[in-house]
Amino acid sequence: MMIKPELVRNIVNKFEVGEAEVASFVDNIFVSMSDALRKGKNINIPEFGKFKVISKTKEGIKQRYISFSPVRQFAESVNDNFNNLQPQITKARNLKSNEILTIRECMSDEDDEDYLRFIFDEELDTQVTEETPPDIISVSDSNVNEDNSVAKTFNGSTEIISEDATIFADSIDEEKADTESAFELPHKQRRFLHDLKDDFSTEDIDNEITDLIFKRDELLKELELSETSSDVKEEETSPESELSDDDIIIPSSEESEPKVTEDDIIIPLETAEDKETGKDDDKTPESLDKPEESSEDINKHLIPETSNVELRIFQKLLSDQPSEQKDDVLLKKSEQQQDVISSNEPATLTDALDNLQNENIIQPLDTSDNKEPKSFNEVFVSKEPQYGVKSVTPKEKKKPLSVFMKVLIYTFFIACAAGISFFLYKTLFENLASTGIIENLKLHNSDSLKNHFADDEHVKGESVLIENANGNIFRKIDPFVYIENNVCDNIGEASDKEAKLKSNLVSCRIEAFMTLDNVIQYRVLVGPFESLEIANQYNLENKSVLNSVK
Amino acid sequence: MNAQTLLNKSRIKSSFSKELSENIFRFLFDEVRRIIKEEKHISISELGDFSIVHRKMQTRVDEGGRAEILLPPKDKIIYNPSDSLINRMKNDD
Repeated sequence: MMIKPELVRNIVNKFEVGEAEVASFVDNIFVSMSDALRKGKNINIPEFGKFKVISKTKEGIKQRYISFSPVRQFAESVNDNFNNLQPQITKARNLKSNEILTIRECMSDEDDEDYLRFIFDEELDTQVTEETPPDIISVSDSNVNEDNSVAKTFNGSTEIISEDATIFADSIDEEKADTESAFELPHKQRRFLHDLKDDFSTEDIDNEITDLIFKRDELLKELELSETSSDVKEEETSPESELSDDDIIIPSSEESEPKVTEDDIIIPLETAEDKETGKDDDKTPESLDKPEESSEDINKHLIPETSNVELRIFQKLLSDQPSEQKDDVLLKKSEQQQDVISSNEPATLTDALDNLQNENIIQPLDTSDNKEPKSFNEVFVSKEPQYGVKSVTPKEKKKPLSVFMKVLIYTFFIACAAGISFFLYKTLFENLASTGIIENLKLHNSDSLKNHFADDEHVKGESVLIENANGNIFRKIDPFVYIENNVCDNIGEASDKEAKLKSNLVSCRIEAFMTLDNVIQYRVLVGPFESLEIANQYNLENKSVLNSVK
Repeated sequence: MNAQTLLNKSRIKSSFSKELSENIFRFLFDEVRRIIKEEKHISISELGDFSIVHRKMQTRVDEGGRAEILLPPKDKIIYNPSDSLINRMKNDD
C-alpha cells in the first residue's frame, strides 16, 4: 500500500500548511534517509527505530545488509496481544543419565537466598515426610531473570533470537506430583551441583555430612591444589567440560550473541529473485579469527599469572628486562670465581703481584724511550686529581649587571673625574695667577675679551675720541680712524645696526665700553680709515646711508 | 545520523520554521507507526516495506542446559528494503 499521499494529507489537515510543501518535505526526509543508508550511515530515530547498515564479506564478496530494530515502545505496542506471555522451560534433562526431569511450579514466594533447598507443596505438607526423595525440579516465578539470547537450530534453519525473558515454570508435567517434593533453583545460582538420585534420603545426607566432617582436611588440601592449577586449566578446558554430568545449566546470555536482538531482521541486499534462491544460506555472523600469539605472549605464559596486581607488575618488569637477570647470573658466577681465587691465595705479596702481572691485570710501566718527554702539566697537573681528593671550590657565578647599573657607574666615574680635574684646574691657576707665574710664563686667559681684541693686529685698546664736528664723531684706534655711527645699550641692537650697515656694503665693527656709571654700552664704528680726512670724506659721500641706520 | 541531523537536512530545502518542521517530523513517524499497527503493512518507495508478521509459538532446545524452552507467540515488525534502495547500494559497491 503506497502510503505517502495519505501521510501528506494527514499532515496537511493537522498543521494546515501547503500540500506541495509538505510533500516535498516528506520526500526530502525519506530521500535523506535512503541516501544515508546508501552511504553506509546508521540512522537512529527515537520515535521509530534504528536502521543499521552491516557490512560482511561472504566468500570473498563484500555484502551490505540493512537491519531495522524498532524502539521498544513501538515493538511492544505491535505485540500488544502477547506481551504478557513469557518463555517457559517445559522440559529439563538430567545431565548424567539424560533422564527427563519433571518441572513443576513453586507454590510459595520464597526469599532470595543463594543456597539450594527443598520446597514442598502446601497440600502435601502434612503428608510428605523428610524421607521422601526429591525427584522433581521446579523453577520458581522469581527465580531467573535474564536478557536471554539463544541461537539454536530449529526446523532445519538457523535463527537468531533474543528474549528479554523471565523464565519460570508452570506445571507442565505432573506425573509424580502428588507424592514428590519440589526442588527449587536459587535466585542467583544457575548451576546445581547436587547428585540427583532416585534413592536419595535423609540418611544419605547425614552420612555425607559426617564423611565431609572427617575428610575436611583432605578436602581443604584438594581445594588449594585445585585453585592453583585452575588458572592453567581454564585456558585448556572449555566451560562445559568443567561441569559435572549432574549440572543443570540455565541458558545464559554468554552462550549466544548478545548484540543481536530478536527484533533485528537482517535482510541481505538481494532482490526478490535472489531471496528465493538463497533462503537457506547461513545468516549467522562469521566468527572472528583469533590473532596469533606473539613471542611476548608465549613468554607471558611461562610466568604463572596471579591475581595480585603488584606481583603482576613485577613479573612484567622481569619479562621486559632480561638483561638484568643475565647480570644477576654473571654476578653469581663472579662470586663463585672469587671463591676459587681465595682458595688459591698466594703466600706473599710479591707472589701476588707476580701473579697479577702474569694475568695482565696490572699493566707494566711504560719504559719506552721513543716517546717524547711530556710537559709538566701533562704529567702532573692533569693527573693530580687522581692522587688526592680534589678540592672542589664552587665557582661563584657573576651575575650580569644590568645596563642601567653599568650606565650609572660609568657616569659616576666620569662625573668624579670631571670634578677632580675642575678642582685641580681652578686651584692651580688661581695660585699661579696670585704668584704672577702666569704673567711670567706669558700664559693668557684665552677667554678674556680684552686680550682677544688685543691680539688683533688692527685693534689695540679702546677707541679714543679725536674729533666731534657737527654731530659726526671720529674715533681712533691706533693706527686707524673710525666713524662712530651709533651707541647702543645692548649687544642685540648693536648687532642689528651692524648688519644693516654691512648690507649697504659699509665696513663696520662693534666696540664695547664702560661708562662712568659702570654701565656697558656698545658703539658701532664704521671704518677703518687710514686718516681723518679720508674718514671725513667717506662720511660726506655716504651720509644718507649712515644716517638711515642712525 | 540522528533525527536532528535528518531534520536539519530536510528543513534546508523547505520553508517551514524549525518548530513546525520538528512537529511535522514527529507527527510523520507517529503516523507511520499508527499505519503499521493498524494496516499491518506500509510501503515507502524510497525506503522499503514495513510489515507485521505473526510468529507462532515455538519450542527451543538448549542443548547445553538440556532444557526445552517454550517461546510465546509474537507479532514482529519486518523491514524489507525497496528494490530501488538495494540497486543503488549495489551500484555504489
